[in-house]
Amino acid sequence: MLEGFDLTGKVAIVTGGNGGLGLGIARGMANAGAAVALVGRNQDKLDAAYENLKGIGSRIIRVQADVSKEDDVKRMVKETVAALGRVDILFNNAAISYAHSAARD
Amino acid sequence: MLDIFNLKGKVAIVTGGNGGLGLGIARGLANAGAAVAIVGRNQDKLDSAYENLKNIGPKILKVNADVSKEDEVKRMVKETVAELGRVDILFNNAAVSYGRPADKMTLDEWNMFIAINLTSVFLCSQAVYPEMLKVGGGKIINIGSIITQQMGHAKLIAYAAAKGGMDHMTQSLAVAWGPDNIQVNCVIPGLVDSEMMPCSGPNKQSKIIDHVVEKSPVRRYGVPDDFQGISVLLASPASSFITGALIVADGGLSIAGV
Repeated sequence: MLEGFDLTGKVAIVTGGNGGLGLGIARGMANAGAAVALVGRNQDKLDAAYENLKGIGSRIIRVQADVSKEDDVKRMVKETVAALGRVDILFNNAAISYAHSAARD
Repeated sequence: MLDIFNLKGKVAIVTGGNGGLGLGIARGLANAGAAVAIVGRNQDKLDSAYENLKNIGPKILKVNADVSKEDEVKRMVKETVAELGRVDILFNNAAVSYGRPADKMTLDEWNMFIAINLTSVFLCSQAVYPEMLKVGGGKIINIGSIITQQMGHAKLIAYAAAKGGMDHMTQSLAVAWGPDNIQVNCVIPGLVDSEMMPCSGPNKQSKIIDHVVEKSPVRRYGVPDDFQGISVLLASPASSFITGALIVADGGLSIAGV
């Protein structure tokens, strides 16, 4: 088929990959053959995401990290390289948002 | 592999599919399993494109037609359906461009540029619509130009008008036919080695090309095969949530500053 879409041998980091849209991203990466590092702060969500993805693609690792913290981010990369060998792809997907009045109440 | 990119059983029309960027599009679609009707006015170019593509994918059909003419567009669709059975995908890629000073261009020239670059999009889209309804949906992909991305050109005012029109038509057509499960998107290419813009060989536009290569984040000009992947993406179920989008594929040229 189309080799251009084949991610076999590639390693992807997906921040916020433990839920929501990030899980869809991670699933796509895994389906295309990449090894995936799921990154999030919540260990339960990481474990559930891992259960969801583990049969697909090459390898899934879980990295618990807060991507707003420099030390955590450095550790995230170190752990990914140690476990999966390299980094080819980064999805900066982690985000929070909630509705709040623009005016100070 | 990834079934979401699979075009097996689908039929695509690629206007201007007999050369340049269109040949890259046709090659991508054929590689992904689609039967492809390549459309052009030049029979020699059609014949050599056919030789280039014939061993890829299920079937390649040559259609000699001028997509600025309503009768020929209708015939194009009729021939495609007669030979290939259906229409799922339309790439409005046919275009002409050459420099004319803004003070000297004639009305006939203006009308010709608009007819081939923009009116054709209207004619072809309208002509495939009933066929797409028959198969429960479709994909229309318009091939634009970075001239619409804050990159005006002194001698291409009609081309710019047509391509700008194409961008906005993409959005409104996406709204119009979204409920029919027809997604309409626009790919905005940068400089691509082709008959329209030779980047190599004896006709190379040296001054422009060297500057483009130096400025582009990817440090090169585009080639038709660069458009295989994005064509398959937009022609396939992988992009069912993408419609009305203008997707720039220019190696970063239009966003590179000084």
